[in-house]
Amino acid sequence: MKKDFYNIKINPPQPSSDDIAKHKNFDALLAQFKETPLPEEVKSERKPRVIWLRYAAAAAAVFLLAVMVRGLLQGKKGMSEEQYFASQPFINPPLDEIKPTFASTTINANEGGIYEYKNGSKLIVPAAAFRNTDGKLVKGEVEIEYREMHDYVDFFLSGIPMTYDSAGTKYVLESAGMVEIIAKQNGQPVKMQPGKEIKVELISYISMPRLNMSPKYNIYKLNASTRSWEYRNVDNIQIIEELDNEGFENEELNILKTNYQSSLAKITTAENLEIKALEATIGMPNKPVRPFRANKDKFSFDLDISENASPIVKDLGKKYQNIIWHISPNSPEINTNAFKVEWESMDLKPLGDGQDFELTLINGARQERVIVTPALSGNEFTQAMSVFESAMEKYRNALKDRALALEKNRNSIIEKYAVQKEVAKKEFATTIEEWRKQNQNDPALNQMVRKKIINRFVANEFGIWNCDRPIHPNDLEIEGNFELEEGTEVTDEIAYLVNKNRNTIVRIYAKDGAKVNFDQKSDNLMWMVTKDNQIAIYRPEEFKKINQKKGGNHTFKLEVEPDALKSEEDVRKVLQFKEM
Amino acid sequence: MLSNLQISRTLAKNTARMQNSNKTVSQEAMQAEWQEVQAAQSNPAFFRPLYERYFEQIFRFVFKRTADENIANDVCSQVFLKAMQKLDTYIYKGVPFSAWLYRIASNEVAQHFRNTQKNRVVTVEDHTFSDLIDEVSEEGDFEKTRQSMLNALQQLKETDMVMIEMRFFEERPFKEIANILDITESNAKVKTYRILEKMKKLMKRK
Repeated sequence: MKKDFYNIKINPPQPSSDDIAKHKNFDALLAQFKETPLPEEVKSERKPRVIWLRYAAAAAAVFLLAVMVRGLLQGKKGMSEEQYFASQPFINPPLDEIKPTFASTTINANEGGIYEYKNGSKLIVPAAAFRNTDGKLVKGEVEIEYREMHDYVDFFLSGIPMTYDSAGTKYVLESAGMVEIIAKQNGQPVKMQPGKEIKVELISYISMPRLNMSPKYNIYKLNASTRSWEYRNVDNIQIIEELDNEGFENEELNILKTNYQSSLAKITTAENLEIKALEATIGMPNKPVRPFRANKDKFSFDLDISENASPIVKDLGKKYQNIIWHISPNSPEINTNAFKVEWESMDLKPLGDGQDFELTLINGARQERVIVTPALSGNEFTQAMSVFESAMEKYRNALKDRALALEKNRNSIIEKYAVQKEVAKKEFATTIEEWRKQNQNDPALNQMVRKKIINRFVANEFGIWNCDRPIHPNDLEIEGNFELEEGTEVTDEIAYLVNKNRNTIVRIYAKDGAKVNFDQKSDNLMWMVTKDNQIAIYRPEEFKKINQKKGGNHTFKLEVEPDALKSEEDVRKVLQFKEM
Repeated sequence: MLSNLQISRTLAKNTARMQNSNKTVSQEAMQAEWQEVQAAQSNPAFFRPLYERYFEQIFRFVFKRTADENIANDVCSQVFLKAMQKLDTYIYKGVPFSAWLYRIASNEVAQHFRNTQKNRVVTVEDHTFSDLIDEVSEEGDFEKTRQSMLNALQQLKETDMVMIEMRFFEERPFKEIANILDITESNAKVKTYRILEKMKKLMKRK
């Protein structure tokens, strides 16, 4: 038999682009390149060929030399902004020691769960939502790492770029909050199962004109492989609190708002009543009571069940011969000596869930009340558990049947009232818009104020998700030069420019002649990071003094703040961050 | 098993597809890329856009020759590391930069199989296999032809297999194959013709 030289595979499965992208890591390659000495063969690889090529070789050498000289002269200086940032890591935290931190929690992958962040944001994780790198379902405990980024200091420290390219136009992203979600099991990253989604309720803040009703933001997912933000959906935003309204009072507006809120409340009340009426049509099944195992370490006592006892108590007494009674943890304190005394009579009544009973011991005018639990042991307990298990099975099925029977009607009720709420909301928006037009000269109504919001969206993969709206850079564009105090060295040639009114941050390749776009009406702030971990800053008041038209030239003289940055608080202080 | 009618329809489709697959890279694009290469020659960090652009193509090229994601990842890393190490020697000759990367990848794959002393993997898909059958056989019995084709492939030299693989199993235009193998386009055509003739003879031998 002939020996095979090739292992021929017919129609083998091919990896997807996503599978391949997970192997892509230029930073690791670059680090490896820097650490690995050049192989010897590189130096001798181009062997001399034939003598007649001597002149051609000389010409090639001259050409190579010219190329090398040109390359050296070109260096970074000859690069465009696009080329410069292409040569940098895509996510590039400027301060190694200070980054927005992750919080972590553990979720049972089989059951899913809800994670609530310290500010009230929530992640709602469905059951069976994870798979490992081999595509297998992940079971057991999974660690979820989560962090939020809300403002220009967070965005700066995270090193995540906040611009968006659409059809060749570069937009700046005005963010209403950004999250990063990672999941791991035993330190190994896990992925989301196809078809599964984590519901995110991100609490954040936005600035907008006082009377604007419905801010429109989108949801973007960061694709580190293609170095871009990918549009995913519309952000479902709900304003939950209006801030900065101290001192602002307008009676007409208050009446309009009150009318709107009361019409919404009416709709919600009608909806709740209708759902309650629907649920009453099919009663809740009775939940069986789990038997309690007798514990010899706990105080216990016997009771003689009389003919006058309630039917439930009598039924218990008939079923089980050896019931003993423990004092329930729900009981008020009682001196156990009370059980050493003979009482004239007693009363035993079942309580709410059927697990506990109220025992009243009576001796003339004296009464003692205690909450007690019947307990079983041995075969009686085993038998009771078996009865309980089968009753639970029936109970669960009855619950499912009830939920199914109610679901369709309940959904149609919810849909009916959702339409009514939407109509009311639209009517209110129209009313407010008309009212604002009538009062358009009142600056207080158009003042930018902060609003606390919930962004609701679904994440169908792990990574960085951003609630944003892209802003077209149609502000003043000038050519900038950058000047630092003598002797100051910067870590990267990147200047960060913030529009504080819009919560935007852009990175500029800070070379002479760089294009700088800024909104003259806003509070702008620019800075660079020095090698001494300091910030060289150009303040809003300096921006206000710039008196240039489009295409003009301005030298940004950045002033070094003397304090070295050791913590996020230091950065916020230096960057004049005002808490929302 | 496919019927004869199905086979001939498949072949017709494949022929059309192969003619349409002539990807060309414009002179302007190649010039722009040469500038990126020069930037990377002056500073390795500027190799990033080239890496980002070609990673998937090179990964697929290697995967088709290894059929193992982990091995493909290791080899692919080695390809780009070698490319960065040898970048100073790269000179623009009017062909796409990718051709140079494919050449390194091809050498690295061969090196991998020399090191592991395992049989080199060749990935074939039904439709590309049909293209090749169409070129060398007129026999109607598909299953019989398929088996004798597999036997003939097993007897090809490594350099011949590389050519068949790129032309038929990856549907690359002759121009691109020539660029990768650093030969002329007509030389690539002649070599392919000779290999096909050799395969016809091998298939006639029982």
